[in-house]
Amino acid sequence: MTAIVVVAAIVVVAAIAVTFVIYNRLVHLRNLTRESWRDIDAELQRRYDLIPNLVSTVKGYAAHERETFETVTAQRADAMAVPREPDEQATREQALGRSVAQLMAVAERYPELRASEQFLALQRELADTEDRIQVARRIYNANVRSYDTLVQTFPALVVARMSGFTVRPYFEVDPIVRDAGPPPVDLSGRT
Amino acid sequence: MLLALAFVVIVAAFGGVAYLFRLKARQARVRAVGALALRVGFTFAAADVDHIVDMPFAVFSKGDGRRVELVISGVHDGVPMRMFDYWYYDESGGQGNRNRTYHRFTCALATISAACPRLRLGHEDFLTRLGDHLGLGDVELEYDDFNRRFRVKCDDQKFAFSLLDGKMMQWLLGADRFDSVEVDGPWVLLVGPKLDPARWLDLGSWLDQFYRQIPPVVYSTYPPR
Repeated sequence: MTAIVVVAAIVVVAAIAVTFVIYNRLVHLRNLTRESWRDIDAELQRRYDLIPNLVSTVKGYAAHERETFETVTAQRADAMAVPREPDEQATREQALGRSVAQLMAVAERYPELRASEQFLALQRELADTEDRIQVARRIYNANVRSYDTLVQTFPALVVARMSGFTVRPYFEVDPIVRDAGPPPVDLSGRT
Repeated sequence: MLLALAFVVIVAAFGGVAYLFRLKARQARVRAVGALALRVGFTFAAADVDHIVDMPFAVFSKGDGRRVELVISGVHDGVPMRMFDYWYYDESGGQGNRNRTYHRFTCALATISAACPRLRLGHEDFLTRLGDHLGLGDVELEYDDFNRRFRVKCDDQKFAFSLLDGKMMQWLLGADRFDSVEVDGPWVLLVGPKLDPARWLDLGSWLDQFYRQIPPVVYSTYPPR
């Protein structure tokens, strides 16, 4: 009888300990996904800050392409407006991306604009920003994958349901500009 | 008594011959590496005059004793780099019964225009996979093939994802001919099995290709200090 009581007590204590470990792991992963979403937000803000300069630079050479400028400006405002869930934000970012790609296509039709130092600098900065967004996106999605996997698998599933942990959505956007170009090779002799 | 003496003499003779063979092999290797340096326009130093072994790479902190030797330095396909032999030994046993196990490698070291956090790329084995299941994991990227083959240790998740993009991961899966790759500050270190000097340039080419796969976002996010 005593042995049964002891075994039962050990089982209960072990179950409590496992629950604590799982709960803490869920909290850690959820915080990681929130933190990595904040990193995406910071990189998206860089994109939003670049777009007005890009629009005014292209406008200087192609002022009659008004519809394109208005679309980009409206999509930017929409993307920045209200904090949304990642999957909803992704839809707006994709729309913004398409309109910026359209703006770049307009710029391609003006050789003087394409050759201007200001436009080239903005183009490089945009490509770099897109690369950073993709890195932040990949980190966020990797953290979401770890978190969602834990929330959906047994026995963490039980703890997650009891504690109100739910799956997080992924964030999928295509880059507007691919490849910022190869870096310069440093032959400064720092061997 | 005579038998014992004869035995000692035979053992000593074998030992002497083995030592001579090792000496000859070492001298041949030194000559071969020197000749390689001359052929490709690199400088050659038999000893580690630049204290490469003191650099902050994990592989240089292994074992009870270590040495870098036969260092060639120069520019390979536009990339400043050094190639060298490295060994360390593990010592075991008590006083009077010390036993040394040597581990030998050939390495290539390149400099890049970035200040990178420390990252180590190695191979998964049974123990590391067990560690993964116990939560002592490495950085998990989005390609399962890559995660199954390689182990990525890096305290900066952002740097790991910046360096190891889709193209780099694809390339590493196809060019898996190394023991480990370490990145720290402006240096990239490739560690491979000990190679015949005739194949050292393969190491240089591999490191050169790795250098060219580094995504531009690494240089913009981690500029030189």
